[in-house]
Amino acid sequence: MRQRAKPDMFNQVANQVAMVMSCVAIACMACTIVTKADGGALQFIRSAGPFVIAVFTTPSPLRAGQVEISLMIQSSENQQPMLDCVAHVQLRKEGARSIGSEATHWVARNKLFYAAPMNVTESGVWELEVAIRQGKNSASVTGPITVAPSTPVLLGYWRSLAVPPVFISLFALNQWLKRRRTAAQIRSANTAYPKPGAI
Amino acid sequence: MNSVVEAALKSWMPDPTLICLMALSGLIYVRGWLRLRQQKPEQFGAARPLAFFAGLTSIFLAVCSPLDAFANLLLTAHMIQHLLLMMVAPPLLLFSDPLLPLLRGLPVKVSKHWLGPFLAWKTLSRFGRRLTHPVVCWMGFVCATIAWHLPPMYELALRSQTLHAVEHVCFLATGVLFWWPVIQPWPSRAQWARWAMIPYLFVADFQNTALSAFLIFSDRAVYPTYAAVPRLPGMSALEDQAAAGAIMWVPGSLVFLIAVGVLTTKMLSSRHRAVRPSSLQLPVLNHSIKPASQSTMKASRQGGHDFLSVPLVGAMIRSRYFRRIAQTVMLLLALLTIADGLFGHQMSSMNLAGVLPWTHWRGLSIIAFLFAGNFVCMACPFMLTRDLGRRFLPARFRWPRRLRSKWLAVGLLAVYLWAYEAFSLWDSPWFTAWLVIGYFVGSFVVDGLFKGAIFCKYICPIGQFNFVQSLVSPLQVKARNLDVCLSCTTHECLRGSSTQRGCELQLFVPRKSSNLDCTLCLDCIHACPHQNVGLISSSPASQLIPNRSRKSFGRLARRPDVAALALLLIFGAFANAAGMIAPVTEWEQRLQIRFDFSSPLPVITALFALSLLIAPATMTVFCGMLSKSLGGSTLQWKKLTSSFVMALLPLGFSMWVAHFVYHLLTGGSAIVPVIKRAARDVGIRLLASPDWSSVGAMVPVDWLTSIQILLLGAGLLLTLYVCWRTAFSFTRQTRSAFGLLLPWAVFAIALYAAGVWIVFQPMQMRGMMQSMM
Repeated sequence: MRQRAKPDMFNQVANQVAMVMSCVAIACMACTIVTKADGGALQFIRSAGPFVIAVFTTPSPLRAGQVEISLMIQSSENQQPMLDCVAHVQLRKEGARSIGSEATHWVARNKLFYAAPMNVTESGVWELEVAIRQGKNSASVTGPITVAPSTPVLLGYWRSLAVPPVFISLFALNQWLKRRRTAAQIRSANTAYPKPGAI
Repeated sequence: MNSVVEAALKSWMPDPTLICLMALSGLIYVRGWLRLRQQKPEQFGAARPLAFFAGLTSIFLAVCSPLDAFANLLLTAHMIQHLLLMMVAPPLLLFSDPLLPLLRGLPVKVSKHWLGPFLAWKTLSRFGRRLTHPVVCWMGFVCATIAWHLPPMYELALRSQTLHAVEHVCFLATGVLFWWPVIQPWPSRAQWARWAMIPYLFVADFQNTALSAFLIFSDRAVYPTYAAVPRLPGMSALEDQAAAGAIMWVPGSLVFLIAVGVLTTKMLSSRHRAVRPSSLQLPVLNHSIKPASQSTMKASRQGGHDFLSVPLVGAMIRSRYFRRIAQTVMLLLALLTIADGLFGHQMSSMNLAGVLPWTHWRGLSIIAFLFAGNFVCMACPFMLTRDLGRRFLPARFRWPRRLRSKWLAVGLLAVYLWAYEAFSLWDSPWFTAWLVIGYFVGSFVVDGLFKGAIFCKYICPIGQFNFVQSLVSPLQVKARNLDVCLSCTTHECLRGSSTQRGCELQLFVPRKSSNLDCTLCLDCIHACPHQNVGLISSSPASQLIPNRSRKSFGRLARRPDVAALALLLIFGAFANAAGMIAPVTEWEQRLQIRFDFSSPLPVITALFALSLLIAPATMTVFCGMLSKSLGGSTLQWKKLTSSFVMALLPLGFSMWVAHFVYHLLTGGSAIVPVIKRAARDVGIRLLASPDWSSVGAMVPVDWLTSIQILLLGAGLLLTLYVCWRTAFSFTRQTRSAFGLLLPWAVFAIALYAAGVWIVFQPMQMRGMMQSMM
């Protein structure tokens, strides 16, 4: 009985791991980017009581759908960021259902911010109200936010939809190059070794 | 520590894409470096991988550290980010001589067959040579630096995350190009003399100095964003700008000067020798590239890794008790499902029979098919009742010859798919319980009366589903070395031995080339006296490529029943998903009203007849005939059709995966309150009260949709590839193969488009708490 060759386990496992990681990387790249609550476009800065509140939104431009509203709350005395507040954001628009959420450090990428993910259902001008509470102090500010219509659905998932055409194109090019090279090798072989009787 | 500083230091956001790409490139590099080190240890010393990982770490710090989180607030942080991407990461990466290690680190098939043609393409190598010309590199670097630092461009990048990412990629790419002629990674050849790099670096430093000076000495904020955003205490916008300019000037210039110093030292050193790239066999360019040809069964070691040799996991699966334990666990779950389905709360989203089979079991089993194989049949609890039936009933009858095909299974599966929709099985725990009882009774009676694994092979609809989907799975029971099988005369894998039965489904391992009809019982593995059978990994498409003789099926092209089964499951995937979306349900309701039906049953029956019988038959016949005509083939169109239908399986499989994974990720968390409710119903108060408000999607909905589209895309690509290989198995002429392939490729793309449309529609959250809220 012929002895079996020892499998190259490291390489086999490495191949499998690499394949899984490639698929995960492609999946992550093609998935819709979750908006990073680290600011984005500055909407307005308002002072209220002991607070100075700066409101940021992403994505930019702001579109109907998943959005992130980020707040930076500073002391009006010394501009120090205040990290122990309770913040609540509310979006209101005439004819539309009001949307509210608590803004926390947990969701924010920049931990100096408070962030609230929200799903804005309609485009138009919304009124954003921010209510802050810290100990005995509380304040609220309002400001307008313009929300553009959402991107067409297909455009929103263009990365995922682009994967097949990209791979098909690369494969087509790969096959064309292979066949061209093979044809060139055959031609050069025929030239080097002409058929008997050709001379 | 200051709470503000502490909060700032916690502001990390690891990007999963970047981490995957970095880990992947690191793995590939290390593999290649280990191989090259054996051949050229002086060129590939330990400093190379250290430099490579230092470069990757720099990129990680630039993009995922608090620097990126503060880039919108502080120009200083943004500037450090850019310096890392342009002046630190590229030289480190290039110093690691990454070209050959990355190439040698790839699997041979990838580097030879996929990358090889591109690397041998003269147009591409000419383009590469021009791209790495010092003039082009210098111009690219300077233009990118200046362009992205113009206020309008800088502001755009600050506001748009996509543009910001583009900016970073641009800086990294132009940084790599700029440092290419300076570092000159081996084995690339320098296009200018080494001394020319000194003025090259000095002139680049001039533009860096000029830009820095503009930022430092400007009396206004160049970028309006930094003037408008709230400032951190102790740093005004102008101070921030000046600091950013200083960072760009001093450390930036330092890097240029260090490079000049190193180059000068090397040129003046008497020990400096011009290093010529010595001949090193490249895995790609020295092999002639042959066109794809028909694969033939070779009497040799079969490639792939044996999953059973994986430490711990392999031994556990190989154990004789593993299967019994798995079956027992599934039996207990099935009994609990039956009990709760018959006697528990009849709202499907609150009952084990409504949640376990339709959400968890379907979702987890399809994931098992995607990554492993038919572990569902391995752990099937109906095998236990089957064995019980054999003990108590005289299994002496032979299954009728006329029924020894898949046609009965096709009919039963079609009825099952119809009944699921027509009687809303998913919404009735009571019906579901009786369905499970029916399976137990059926397996007991059929395999108790008839010899052989008749229930599995010819009847069980779930089994037929599993067999067909497992054709895409990466694991397969195979012989490790065919030479051993050739010398074997006892064939215990089929016939069994005195202590171990052989394959009940009559699959002869040396001739077995797919998972069709394999229940992963591992009887052949236990029976083989040479320990020559394993659970071998293979590429998913290999089982579907034709011209492999399959034992117990003969040539696939002569088996219309198998093709019909595959077709039913392919169209069943789309019909099953479409039945849940709002446009289709509204359309059904309109038809019901229009024809004045008292129930939706006639409409559903008609739609299923259309989608599972008429449409598949019509379209495949049309495609088969057109394929024969365009390809100029002399084969019967039925044979062509049967072969190409199998090629559509990956697309059907991807639709099942997209559908079941959707339900699993949106409704999977319901199992916790359901178990608590069921326990309380029987008097077990150890668990807390069920919290129904906690039920929700486990991932963001946007991610789900993207994942579903990606799965469908992967299915389409695999289908097109198998169609391609199938076409070339019938003919060697490219034009003829294209003619054969074209109708099926269009058909596959149409199915893909239908799948994408289904994914974008609002879907009923069937049997889930979300539908009740």
